[in-house]
Amino acid sequence: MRETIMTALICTLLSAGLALAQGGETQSFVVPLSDPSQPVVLEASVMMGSISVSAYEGSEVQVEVSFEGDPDDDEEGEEREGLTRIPSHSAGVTIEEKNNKIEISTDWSNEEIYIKVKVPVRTSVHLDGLNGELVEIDGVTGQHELSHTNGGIKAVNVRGSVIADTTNGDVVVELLEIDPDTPMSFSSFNGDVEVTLPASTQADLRMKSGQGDIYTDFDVQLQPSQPRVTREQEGEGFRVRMEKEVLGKIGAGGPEFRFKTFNGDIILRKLQ
Amino acid sequence: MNCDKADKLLMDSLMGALQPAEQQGLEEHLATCERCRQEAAGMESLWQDLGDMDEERGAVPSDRLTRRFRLALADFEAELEKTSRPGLTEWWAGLWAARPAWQAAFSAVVLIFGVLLGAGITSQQSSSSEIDELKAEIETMSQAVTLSLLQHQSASERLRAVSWSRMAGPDDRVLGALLDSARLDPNVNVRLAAVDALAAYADQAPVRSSLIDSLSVERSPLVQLAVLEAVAGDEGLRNGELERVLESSEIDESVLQYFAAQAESL
Repeated sequence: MRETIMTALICTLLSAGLALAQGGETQSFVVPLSDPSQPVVLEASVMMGSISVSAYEGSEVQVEVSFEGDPDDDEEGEEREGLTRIPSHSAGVTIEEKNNKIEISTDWSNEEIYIKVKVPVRTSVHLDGLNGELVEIDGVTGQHELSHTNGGIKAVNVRGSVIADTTNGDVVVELLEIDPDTPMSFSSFNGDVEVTLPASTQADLRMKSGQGDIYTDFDVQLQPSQPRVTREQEGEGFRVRMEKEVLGKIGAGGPEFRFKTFNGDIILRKLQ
Repeated sequence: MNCDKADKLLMDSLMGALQPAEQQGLEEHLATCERCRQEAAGMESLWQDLGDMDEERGAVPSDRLTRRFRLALADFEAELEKTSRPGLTEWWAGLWAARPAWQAAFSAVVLIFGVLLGAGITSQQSSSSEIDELKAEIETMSQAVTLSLLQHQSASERLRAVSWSRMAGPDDRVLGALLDSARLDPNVNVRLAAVDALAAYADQAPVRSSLIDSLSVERSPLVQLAVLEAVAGDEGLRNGELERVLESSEIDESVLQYFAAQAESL
């Protein structure tokens, strides 16, 4: 195609302020891409709620935002004699597109916001959740970075690479194909890390679980862990402590994949 | 109690932060040691002056606190200086300090040696020195690449940079960049990897200090745990470090408990 100078396309700032009479409501937006033939980068962060991204055969990005919650059991309203309270929700969502990079962010609010995004298959997804049910992606190909503080992460049918972390929640990742020579890392403080990789994967593994166990059906060649030898400050002699990190190789070795949990297990499966 | 210990406790005593047993031990030592008595007197008078200075100028109480804090900090950093192992660069710098005669002689020797070496090389084309040069070049290049990769947009590339840094060797710039990553990288997994890589250098005081400082801003309990494990190592925390750790109110409860349990078993 002919080369064009990419003009910065700062898309419309969409703010959704909604006054509702009842129940939750959904609003949909379509975001055109600067260059539909190029891969997309999607960044989204949500304070309270969920984000779910799935691939489809289109070349635009479709965003659906909904506010859940039954306004009738809102306990915060005051009773005023003779008056009926009209429930209302309002929260702001901002969606910006520039050179195939889409950023979705939400205001501070105590509303739960559910964002569902449909993206072209070649999209790298960067998601950041704070409090919510789930951060999940499905069917996308790219370099994904997923983070969720109080909630789980789920990536299914994805290709490329994934770097994921949660504080309180499980990390469940299924990669159908992985980018060659690309490091990955999966970690969770209170939660399991369960990763499924193609059976032909070749990688160097570093796995450490504070108080959990490590399971795998891969054929892992374990390497002896390096003892850390340090000299005591006052007095003589050495003290050696074996670190509880498991080092190993699958196949002939390759890029480094790190797994770390504290209260939770590490499970590494072969893709069937 | 020896003079070293007394010296370390002096500042805390002025701030009223000592345990009764320690305070008593300190006083007993001061009763018998002239040198420490003088030291204590000097510090106390400085402390008082700092307090009085403000009252004279009618300054706000917080100014006095800040000045005294600065004095305490300077004292702490002086302690750090004393206990840190002199690094290779300091040792090297020490060698060059103010010995003009030796330096001139050394330069002359190097010059003669260089001339001889040059003559030797040009006549022989020895290939092993070329290989050494190549090796050095590759190492410098890989350090440079590592440094720039640590800033990359993609978290995968930054992860790659951290694992390279393990192979690049204990270069000061790489260490500094790793410390920055451990503290500032937006991705938890990258910070985790950086702290793990730094654990090998955790016996160096500046590394320990920076890691402990990061605890006051680190929100992820996983990284907090990694920092504590890196710094505590086998000897446990050094003098004064435990207080600094506990002051970091951000540390997750379960991390503190796990850490306390592990420390006991050592």
